[in-house]
This record gives sequence, structure tokens and C-alpha cells, in this order.
Amino acid sequence: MSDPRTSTSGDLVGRLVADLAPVRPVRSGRMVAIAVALEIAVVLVVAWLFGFHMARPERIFDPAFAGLLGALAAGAVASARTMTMLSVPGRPVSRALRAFVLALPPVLAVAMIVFSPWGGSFHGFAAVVVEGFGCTKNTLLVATPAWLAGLLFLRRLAPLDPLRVGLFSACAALLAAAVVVQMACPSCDSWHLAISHYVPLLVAAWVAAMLSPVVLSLRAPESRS
Amino acid sequence: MGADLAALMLAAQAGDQDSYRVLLEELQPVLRSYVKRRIRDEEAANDICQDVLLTMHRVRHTFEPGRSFEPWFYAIARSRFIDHLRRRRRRGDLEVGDDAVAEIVAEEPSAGWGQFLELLERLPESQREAFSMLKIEGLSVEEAAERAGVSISALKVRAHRAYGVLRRGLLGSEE
Repeated sequence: MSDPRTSTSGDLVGRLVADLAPVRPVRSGRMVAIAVALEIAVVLVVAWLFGFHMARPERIFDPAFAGLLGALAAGAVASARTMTMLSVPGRPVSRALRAFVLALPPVLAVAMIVFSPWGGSFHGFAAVVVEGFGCTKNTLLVATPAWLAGLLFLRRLAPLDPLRVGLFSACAALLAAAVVVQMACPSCDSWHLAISHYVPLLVAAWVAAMLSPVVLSLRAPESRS
Repeated sequence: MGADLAALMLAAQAGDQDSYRVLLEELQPVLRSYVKRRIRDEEAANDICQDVLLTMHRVRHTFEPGRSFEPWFYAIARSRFIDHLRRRRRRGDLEVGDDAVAEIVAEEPSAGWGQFLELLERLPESQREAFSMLKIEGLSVEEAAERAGVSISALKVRAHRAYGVLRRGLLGSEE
């Protein structure tokens, strides 16, 4: 298609009509399901490739631990839904859902420190960061491919607000990765979980959001039927 | 917008060029009115209108069967409009008179717009049409009534019902 931007509005209509090809309309429900499945699949494959195994599997029967995993997984699904709906024009996403996703990491971090049933030892912020660097690194390692896969998938839709779409794409990937890393990490130290598992999610999500417009600006394949 | 735009869009998605032409021709004056009410610069308004139509063309597969056309279309228009304003702001050449613009940009992060679209979509077709003609296209009551093929009083009733639903929906959620 030649650049219709240089044409008058009458020409533009003619050119758009001439360029018209059949397309398969999206179904947002199906797109959400695909997005969720994609995030889960990529996270699991990457975790498998890096040889992650569940540490102390008996913890899964601890209601607090299972609750944590459930909250992270629910956040990942909510974020995948949000990023997809934000990529379909005119499909609003509730403020509560967005707030839930964005508030989850800091709320979990604070809840861990204040209410943790497992206790923890704080011997300086820097020491906790250094000791927990492996978990932070693993989370980012697992999340990055899922974040990129999510963005590549969303390019097929209409992410008209790339910053926000990128933010929720990153949240979906990071929260899904956090589930895997939480299971693979043998520590339940409250400070370790708060500082090395949850706080980095928020920071990484914003950094990824800033980078997302670049990925989304790559030309997406046409969705022709 | 007199024609059934959703039906035209669905036909366009199937590759019907005639329907697509009718749709684009129906949309042009509406879009122009929407943009011109928000920006004074004629050239910029033309650019935005073209950008909206090009974007709509590119993402036409994201219009879902069974949904209303207007929320989809105005979400695209608004997004392109905001992008244009951001570019101009970065260049520092936003006109002092473009105050509506600042208003739109300021309201962008709020969920109000999304909620508005949701409420708009839930309105019965006749009420949504009345609202769109009066508040988005900027037609007079007489013009809107003529286009809808109803009496002026009937159109006013439809519009008032739409305002009521939107007001209750938007204000109710803040309470």
C-alpha cells in the first residue's frame, strides 16, 4: 500500500478501500485465554530449561504458602487479561483489576514483613539484597521471555497505549515467574521474600513498561483470513 | 451516524469494499467534527483524521462481532488524538487555545474514560445514537432528530435517558 498520508481525504478513502482484504475478527475472550496460556507455557518451558525444581514440596500444604502462590498466580492471570483487553480498542478494564495487579507486589512485600508466619531475620538491606540476588535474577530470567512473548502476541491486536500494555504484560510475566521462583526457592524468610522476590517485581515491571513501546512498534503481521 | 456501522464494519472485515466505502464516508464527517471540536489547527485536524482512519484500517480485525461500533471507533480516535498532542507537546508547539486538549490529556490515566465506554456500549442503540449525535458529533437537536428519523421530542427523550444512565453510572461509582 502506498503512503495514503500524503493524499487528500477522498483519495485516502479510495486507497483504504482498494487495500481492503478480509480479516478474521478477534474474540477477546479467546485472546485472553491464549495470552494466559502463552504466559504459563513460556514460564514453564524456561523454568524447565534452567532446571528449576520445587524445593521443599511439603510447603504446598501450608495454607499460607499456598495462599501466596495463589495470589501471585491470580495476579498473573488478571494482568494477562488486562494487557489483552487494553489491546482491543473500546474494551475497558476495571480500575479494581488494574489496582489489584499493580498493588499486589508491594502489598505482598509489606504483608510478608508484618504478618509472615515463617518469621525472618533482617541484617541490613544490602545483605538481604546480596543474599537474595539469585532469586531476583531467576525471576527476571524466567519473566523476560514471557514478557517478550506477550508483547509479540499483543502486536497482533491493537495496543494503542503501549506503555500501559507493556506494564501489564511485564506484570503478567513477572508474577507468573514469581510463582515458579517461589516454589523453587527453599527460603521462607520474610525479608528475603519481600526484598528479593516481591519488590523487584514492581521495579522490573516499570522498567519493562518503558521498553515495551519499542517492541510493540515493530510491525505486526496482518491478521488476514 | 445513521447507518448500522457495526454491520458495515463486519461486512468490511469480510472484504466487502462497497460496505467499507460507505462506512468510511459515514465516518469522515463524524470524525472531523469530533476532532475539530478539540483542536483549532486545520492542518493538524486533517492529520489526526487521516491517522485515525489509517489506524482503524490497520486494526479493523479488533472490532468484535456483536459489540457496538462507537466505543471501538472513539477509543481509536481518542488514542490517535492523544498521540498527536503528545508529539506536539514534545515539540512545544501546542496552541494556547487548545484547552480542551489539555483536559483530555489530563483525564487520560483515569479509569473514567474506560467506564464511560462501557456504559456507552450498554446503552440501547437508539439512546447511544442520540448521545453520539448530540455530544460527540455536535449536531443540533433538529439535525439529530432528522437523521434519526424521529421527532425532536422523541430524540430529546432518548438523549435524556442516555444522560441519566451515564450520569448514574459515572457518579454512582464515585460514591
